[in-house]
Amino acid sequence: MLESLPVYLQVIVGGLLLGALYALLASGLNLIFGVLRVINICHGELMMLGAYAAFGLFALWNVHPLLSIPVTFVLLFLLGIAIEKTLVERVAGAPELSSLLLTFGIGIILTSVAMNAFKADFRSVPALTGSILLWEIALPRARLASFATALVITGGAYLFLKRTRAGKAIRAASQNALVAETCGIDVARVRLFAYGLGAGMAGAAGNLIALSYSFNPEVGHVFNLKAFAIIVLGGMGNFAGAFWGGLLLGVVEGLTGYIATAQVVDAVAYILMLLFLLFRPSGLMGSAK
Amino acid sequence: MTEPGILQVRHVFKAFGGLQALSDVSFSVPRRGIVGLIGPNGSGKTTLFNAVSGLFPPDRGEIVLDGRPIAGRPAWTVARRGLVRTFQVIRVFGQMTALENMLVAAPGLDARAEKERALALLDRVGLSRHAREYAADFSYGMTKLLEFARVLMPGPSLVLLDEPAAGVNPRMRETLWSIVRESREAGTTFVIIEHDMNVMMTLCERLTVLNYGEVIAEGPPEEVRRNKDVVEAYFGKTAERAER
Amino acid sequence: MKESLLPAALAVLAGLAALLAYAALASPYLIAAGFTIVLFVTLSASWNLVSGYTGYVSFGHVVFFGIGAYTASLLAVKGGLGWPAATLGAASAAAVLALVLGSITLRLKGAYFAIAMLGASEAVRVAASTWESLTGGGSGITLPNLLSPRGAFLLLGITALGTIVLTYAVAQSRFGLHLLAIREDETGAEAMGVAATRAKTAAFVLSAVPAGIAGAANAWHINYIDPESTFPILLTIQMIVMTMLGGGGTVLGPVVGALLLGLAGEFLWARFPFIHLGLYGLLIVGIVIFIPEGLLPRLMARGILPRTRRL
Repeated sequence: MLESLPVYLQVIVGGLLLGALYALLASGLNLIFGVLRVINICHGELMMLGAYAAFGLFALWNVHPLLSIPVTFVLLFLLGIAIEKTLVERVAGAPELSSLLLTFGIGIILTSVAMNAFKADFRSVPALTGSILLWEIALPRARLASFATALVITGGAYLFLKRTRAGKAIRAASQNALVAETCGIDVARVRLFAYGLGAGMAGAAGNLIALSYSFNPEVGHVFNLKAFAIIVLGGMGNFAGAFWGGLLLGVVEGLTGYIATAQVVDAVAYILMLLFLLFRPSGLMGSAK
Repeated sequence: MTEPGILQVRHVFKAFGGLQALSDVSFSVPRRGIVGLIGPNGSGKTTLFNAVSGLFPPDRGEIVLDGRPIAGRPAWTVARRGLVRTFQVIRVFGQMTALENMLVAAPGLDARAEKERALALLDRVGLSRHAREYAADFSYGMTKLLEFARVLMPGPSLVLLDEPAAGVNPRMRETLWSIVRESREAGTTFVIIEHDMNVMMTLCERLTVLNYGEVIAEGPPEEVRRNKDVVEAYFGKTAERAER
Repeated sequence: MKESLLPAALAVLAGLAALLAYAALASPYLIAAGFTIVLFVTLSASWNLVSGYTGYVSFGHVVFFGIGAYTASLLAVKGGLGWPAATLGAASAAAVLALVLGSITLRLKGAYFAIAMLGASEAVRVAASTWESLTGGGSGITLPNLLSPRGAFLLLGITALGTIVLTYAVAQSRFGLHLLAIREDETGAEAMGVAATRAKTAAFVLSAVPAGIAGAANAWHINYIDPESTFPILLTIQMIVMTMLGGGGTVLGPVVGALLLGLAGEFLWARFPFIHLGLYGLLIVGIVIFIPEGLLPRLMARGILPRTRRL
């Protein structure tokens, strides 16, 4: 039993490393849901574009994927702004069916564009290789760097929401759009900005995925489903909740993969999601209301 | 009071977070009566309606309709036992016609009889010409009238009206109150929330006054009007002092 | 009421005659194309029955198609049943799954219900690929040839027609009015005496049955099933898009949408194999932005079609 302890520790640490990426992705999704009340089904596809942006910058100009993060973030932020302004804003206040379908449609357009531009081959950006050995635990450098960067970005976004004026406007609009409006907050602009920010965070997550995993144009789909599960775990619309939900899913997936088979891992997200929806719909962080 | 009332509310409490919305509320509604529920804004009138009609259960206390306890029962079972209500914020079904709105509340007769009854009620509130139009296309006043007609559709024994006349034009208002009187003659009991005190004084046989979630007075309108607590609740202590 | 049923009865008879004639006369290619069309009609009419009328977006409706396909296949291969009994088994399995899933997930509202259904359908898909001893896992199940392509077409065509008739009956009934009232305002409906939970669950079960039969018919048609092709999320999206295009909460909206998109698929997508998915995405975006209420309701609002629950 003692012998297997380091193995479990290794599995848990591995889960945390991946979980931070989940957390970054899902925080952006939850930010968008909180403010726009839209489940952004093209979130994984935005992430996928972020991965290709990092890939392109590395392949063309040899930009290190850790340095390209600001560029990917801004690119996806701008794309997010464009998508919100031209499309998503038009279904604001419509029944959820409209926004679900709309963002799904955007997602398959993005996948199709990437498919034609980059083909279906799996790519990776092998800029950071090797592992650090910490006690008995092997920590791949790339994943460790992704983990740390994801924490920094998520933490930065959290501080931005907590401390700055714009961040407070976002939180106000997320609590109650009507009240925020009457307090003089331009809620339409907050929606635009929140969507941009969410998309930028998805782009950054994609950039980090590119650093340590291989990807192709269809990878967005799987991450979409995981991100939905995470925001349910953390509480829908709850930014900090998505962070803990992401780490939790990473660890539980890791343990499941070790104890059972790799196939079951995919089901973990859905089963956790259903259990939470049934027994704790407000999520880990939510007050039981 | 030999015959028990159609509705008894006994020691009902309801809190939202730290706010005690209803505190030991007790009152009784006599059969075939028209009872007014008055009180300043935020005094708990609508909360009381919500608890009685089954939108949420009270924290404590009993609610008895026609001799059967209904506290905590879901809204639809309460409605099927003959207690229906209107809402302060109108709740008509927008993408359904006026006639369909009526038929949702139908008592379960045969289709032809239900339709005739629905059309007669719509005619009574002046909406028969609009029976086949979508409620979403109605003006505010028209939706209020539709909601009022719909609440009578199932042939209820007890109707709770939450500000039914707000936004309705004065002439239609008179019709509305006369329909209330006629339905009472036909055996329906009403509990009404309404801000127009002149209407309440003439229409209601009894008034119950709520303030801060407590019943502060109850009785015939004349008696309630002279009640010192009621004057204070409505006009505040400063007004009372100014009178002295 | 009685005389007004005549046109509907004649339309059903005409539809039945057309199906029989098509099944008897069409070439194998046209039978295959026709199968796709009746599959789309059945599935979108099935989705419409619950989501179009109650407003609860079943974002994982493909789970009923999938459970139907697997139940039928297993009953045929492992149970040795013929296609009629296996198809009935598929319909029952879909109904039971809907009852169980519905009594759990229909408590959730709005987006929560939508993603719960998405999660449920994905969870069942993973179960189908993981439980190898029963389902053959990712390599799927190969079926003996129990029903000819013409037979499968006719089975599904009649199911499609039946689903439309069922929708017509629901739309005229008190039950249908209750479903619409739930869509418009569930709390208000309950205060009017509508037993919302019961009505929603009943609509969910009713809608699952044709989807389950469609799964079975599809298995008879292609003689092979596997998790990826039996639980595709895209199929749920197609049901939704077709219904939305024609108009949800109407009897014929899903039929119109399925015919339009089914035919478009036959003629258009085949010519643009590399960008057809992207084109489909553009189409979805266009529908949501430009005709969110659907063709039939728009024609009704313009006075071109009569405003009636019969269409």
